[in-house]
Amino acid sequence: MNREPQRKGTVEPGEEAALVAAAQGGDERAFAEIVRRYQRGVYRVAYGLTRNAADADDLAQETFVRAYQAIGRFRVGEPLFPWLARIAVNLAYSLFRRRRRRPEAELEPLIEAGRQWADGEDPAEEVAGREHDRKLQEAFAELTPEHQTVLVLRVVQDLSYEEIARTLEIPTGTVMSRLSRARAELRGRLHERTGETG
Amino acid sequence: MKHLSESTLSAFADGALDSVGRSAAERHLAECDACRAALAAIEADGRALAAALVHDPGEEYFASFAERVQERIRGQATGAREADTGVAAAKAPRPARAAAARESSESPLATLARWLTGPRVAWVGAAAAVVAVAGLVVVLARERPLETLRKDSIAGRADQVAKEEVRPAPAREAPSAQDGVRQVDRFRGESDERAQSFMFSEPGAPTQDAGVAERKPAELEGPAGAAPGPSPGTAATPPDAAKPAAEAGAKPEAAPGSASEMRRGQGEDIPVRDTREALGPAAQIAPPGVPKARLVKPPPRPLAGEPAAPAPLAESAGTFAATPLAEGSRGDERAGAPAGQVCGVVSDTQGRPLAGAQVALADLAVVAVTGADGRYCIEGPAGEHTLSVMAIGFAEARAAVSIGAGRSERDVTLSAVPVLKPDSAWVAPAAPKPRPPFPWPPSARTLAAMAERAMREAQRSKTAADYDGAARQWERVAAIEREGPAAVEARRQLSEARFRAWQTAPTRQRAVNALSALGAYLRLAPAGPDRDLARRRLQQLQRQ
Repeated sequence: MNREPQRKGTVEPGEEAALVAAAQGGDERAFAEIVRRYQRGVYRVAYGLTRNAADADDLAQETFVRAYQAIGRFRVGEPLFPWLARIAVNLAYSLFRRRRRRPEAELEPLIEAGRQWADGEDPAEEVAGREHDRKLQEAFAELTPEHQTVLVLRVVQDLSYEEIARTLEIPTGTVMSRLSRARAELRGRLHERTGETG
Repeated sequence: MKHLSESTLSAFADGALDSVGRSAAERHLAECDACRAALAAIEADGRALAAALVHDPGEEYFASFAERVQERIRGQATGAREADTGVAAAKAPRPARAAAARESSESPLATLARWLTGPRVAWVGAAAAVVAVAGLVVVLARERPLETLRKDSIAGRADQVAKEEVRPAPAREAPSAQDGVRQVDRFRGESDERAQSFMFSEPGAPTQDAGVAERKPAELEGPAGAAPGPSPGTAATPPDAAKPAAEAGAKPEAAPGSASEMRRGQGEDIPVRDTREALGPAAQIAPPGVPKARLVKPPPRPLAGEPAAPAPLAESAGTFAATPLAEGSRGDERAGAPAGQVCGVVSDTQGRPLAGAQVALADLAVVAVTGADGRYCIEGPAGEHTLSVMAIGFAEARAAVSIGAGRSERDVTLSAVPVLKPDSAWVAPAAPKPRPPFPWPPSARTLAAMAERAMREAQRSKTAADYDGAARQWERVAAIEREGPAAVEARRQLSEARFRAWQTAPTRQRAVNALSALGAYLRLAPAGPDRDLARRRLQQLQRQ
């Protein structure tokens, strides 16, 4: 009995179908509205998978560009966000394949974290927090793309199992087992780095 | 005792077990410390991960995101637009626009100028078009810094809008009403069957009409001098144009050109109800007084009742998959199809011309802007098109127009939108009334400061992940302060964060967290409005 979470700012099914139909008919404003409504969600997925703002921006924009080009093929009435997320995920996978490992990507989160905490009061606390975040990101970066993806969709974007299943076109049972393994994997790698047991 | 498996715990943390599985798990967890600890670890890891993987690029980023996507879409259609001149008065030549785009990525003011000029206004203009000035200022404040608005131009347009008597179906003198009805009738029968067919016009390029190209800059000459940017095409910016309009609008006799005076009498009025019936699925007009006009919502009746609709829509979907609309003016790429013009005057219901109104052929994304005399001319391939007219402070009007060889005339009347109390859907919710800063004891001061900052961030971004992150911080404070006013305050903040997280993105897990946090707070909270609020929230959660 998975209850589909309702997110403030998302579109009710009827409203969404109308928007999509209008966009398919060439209504640019309808498509603009679609972009506005889903931009944050798509950005969250993009950032979760790339973990640097430049890539996330590029990926998020490209997701909507591809969506625009393919919207004619979309089935009105189906939920739109999983489709958008799928585009984002596929683009991220292409990016991974193209780049394999990007050492400079690991500096970015640190820099960004620094910016976010810029007006911190207790440097020791800040550094500790940032350090932990960095280790977590490093551990996360070592996961397979499949594991990263289910974690991002679940933990960052808060999709239900059904929505994740729809996004990745896998059964919900697979979502469940994949999430469980991803979590275990991440915990293991993090403990290796930090030597913590907690 | 047999423990819960990793995958069961994982699914339980996600609220994804069915009711049988969940009850069984809950029963086990009530008795098993190890599994409870394992569950807590999963949850804590999840929160940490969410915090580490989330980044807020800021409101400005999202405010301009849709526009950048459009730029990108257009950019991908480059190369096909050699003949990009004169077709739409408000389209800048590509190099100038690309340069403008590059520059404006640094300057919010330049971005605002770009936003207000050119085709993008049509594209995103629906957001602003149906709001009165008070609402407009608020909406733009969300999207752009308030300081960059041209306040005098807004005042000018506000003057014009305020003078409007808003009537849902304005009464007309008999001759004009007849003209109006006749004009609408002319399209009524056709539009039902043709409303979809306009999308299928054969592509072709318009012949270069040198006369037209010359005429347009002259039409827009009034505001052109004041316009920023190198391109004459983007001559009229609405705030600039509003100034001359405000001056000219109050005294109709000052409008240049007697031709427009004549035409005003025959002005086409497009009252909301009539056009919706006349235009079939193409008509998408919000009745005055409905703040949510920003959403383009085809009226359900035509969609359901149009027998022709499903098939053409499917076809049109295929057509658009192949040729993205935002290749801008498809007229540019077409070869051989005849082009024509439609011109006219846009006025308000008092007959005063509206300068700086955006006139578009909605199906082609071709845009023109009315000059100081309210006049526009727009070129397009022959055939049936949808004319869309928008101006800040007025409700959008749409009409079916038929372009043939040569020039057709189509005047448009816009109705002002009544001054509305800003709808909460448009406006950020009022900031919580400021509390005096809490005097934290030294032991908690640092952690509390971090938690307060995280809370402010969450209030800005309004994401569940941020609220959960803030809650995590407050948990640390609550762990230190176990008694006294500091404990009460920490728990209050924690329950606020948990509740907001649930409110933003309700999941079963968040509901459980919120219930638990509210309960912890209520155990310590003294009587008062905070306690009452917590109780109401608790009841709200229990009702879920």
